[in-house]
Amino acid sequence: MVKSERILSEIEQNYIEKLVNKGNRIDERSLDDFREITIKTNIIEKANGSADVTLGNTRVVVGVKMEMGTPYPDMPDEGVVTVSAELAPIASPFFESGPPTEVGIELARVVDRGVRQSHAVDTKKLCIIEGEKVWIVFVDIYALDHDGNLIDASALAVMSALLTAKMPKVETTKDNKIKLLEETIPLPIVNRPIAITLAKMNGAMIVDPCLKEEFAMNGRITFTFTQDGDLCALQKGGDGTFKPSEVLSAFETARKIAPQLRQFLPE
Amino acid sequence: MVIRESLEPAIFSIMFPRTAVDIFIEIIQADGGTRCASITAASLALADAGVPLKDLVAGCAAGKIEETLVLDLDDTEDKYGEADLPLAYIPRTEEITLLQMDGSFSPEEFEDAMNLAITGCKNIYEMQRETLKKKYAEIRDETDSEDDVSEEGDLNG
Repeated sequence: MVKSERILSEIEQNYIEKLVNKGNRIDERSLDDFREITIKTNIIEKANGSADVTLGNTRVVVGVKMEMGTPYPDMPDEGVVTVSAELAPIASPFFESGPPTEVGIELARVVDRGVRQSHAVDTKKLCIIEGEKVWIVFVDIYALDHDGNLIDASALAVMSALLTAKMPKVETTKDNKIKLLEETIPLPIVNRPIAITLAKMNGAMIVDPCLKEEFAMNGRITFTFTQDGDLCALQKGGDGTFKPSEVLSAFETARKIAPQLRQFLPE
Repeated sequence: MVIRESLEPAIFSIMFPRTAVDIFIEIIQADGGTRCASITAASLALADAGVPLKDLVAGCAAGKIEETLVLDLDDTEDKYGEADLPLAYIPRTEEITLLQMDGSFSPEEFEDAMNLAITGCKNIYEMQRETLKKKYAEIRDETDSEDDVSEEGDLNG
C-alpha cells in the first residue's frame, strides 16, 4: 500500500505505540495473540473446493477450481498449482477495481510461495498423461473485508480449501483418451504450511496486526512453516528495517505459534 | 516493490518533500541474484547522483545446495538448490531492508544462512565504497594534473 493511502492520526499512532510498549493492543490482545479464527469450508458448490475464513474482522474467501491442461516442458509429470488474489473494493476503501495492485500481487506471491515451497500438494499425483495432460489447480483468493493481516488469513483459507477440495477421478484408455468419472477423490495434500505475520512497532514485535496496527507499524515479516517445523518461505514487507536480532526473535515467536494455528485447519 | 522498500529506508527522503526519485533497473542478463545485484547497483547510482543516504545498501543471497550453505546462488543453483535467501543490508546501522526466502531451512540453518548473507553484504559494501572512492580519486588526479599544466604555463610565461 502506498504511504499516502494510510491515514492514521498522530494521536492514534502514539496511543497504539504506547499500548504496545506496555504489552497491550488496541483490541485488548497480548502481543503474541491471534484474533478469533473461524473457518467454513465447501461454501461454494460449483467450485472443487472453497473456504471462508475470518480472522477478527478480516474475511477472506478462497475458491479452488481444477482444469486439465498441458504440463510445463521441464516438469512433464507434474501438475500445476497457481495462487492469485483479488482485492475487491468492498473489502476496504483503499482497494479499487482494475488491474492487480502491488498489495494484491504481493499477497498472492507470498501465499503461493508458502504452498509451493512446502510441497503442500503432491503435484506428481496431478499428472494424467505424462507430457500431455495434467491437472492445473487454480486457487483464487478474494478479500471480502480487510482489517489487517490478509496474508495469514488467506494462507489459512487456501489450505482449508485445498484440504477439503475434491477432484474427479479420471481413467485413461489404451489410445490415451481421458474419461472423467463421476467418483471424486480428495486432492493429494501432503503438507500443511502455516503463515505467521509479525509487525514491528516501536522496537516490539506483534503477531497478527489489525489494520490500524498495520498503518502504525514499521515493517512486517511473514514466516511460513511446514508441519515439520522447518521454515519454507519468508518475506519482509513494508518500508521498515529489521536488525538481525529482531528477525531471529520474531522467527522464534512465529515458530511457537504455527502449530497452534495449524489445529484450526480441517482434517 | 521489494527493491523500493529495500532502498527507501536508506534515503533521507524527509529532505525532499513532494519529490519522487525514479530508479530504472535494466537486467541485461539474468543468471541468479538479479534482485540483490539490482539493489547493490541502485544504491551506488543513488550515491553517484548525490542523493543523501544514511549509508549504501548492499544485497547478497545465501542458499542451500545438497545440505551445504552457500553464498550468492546462480540461476542453476537457484533452480536445483534447496533454498534461497536474498537479503539487503545497511551496514552502518546494521539494518536488514530486504529479506525473502523460499525453500527449506531448519531453524539453525536459517540463522546461519542469514549471518552468511550479511557477511556477503559486508564484503560487497567494501567494494561499493572502494568504487565510489576510486571515482573521486580519478577526478582528483585529473584536476591535479590540470593544475600542474597551468602552473608550468605560468612559470614559462
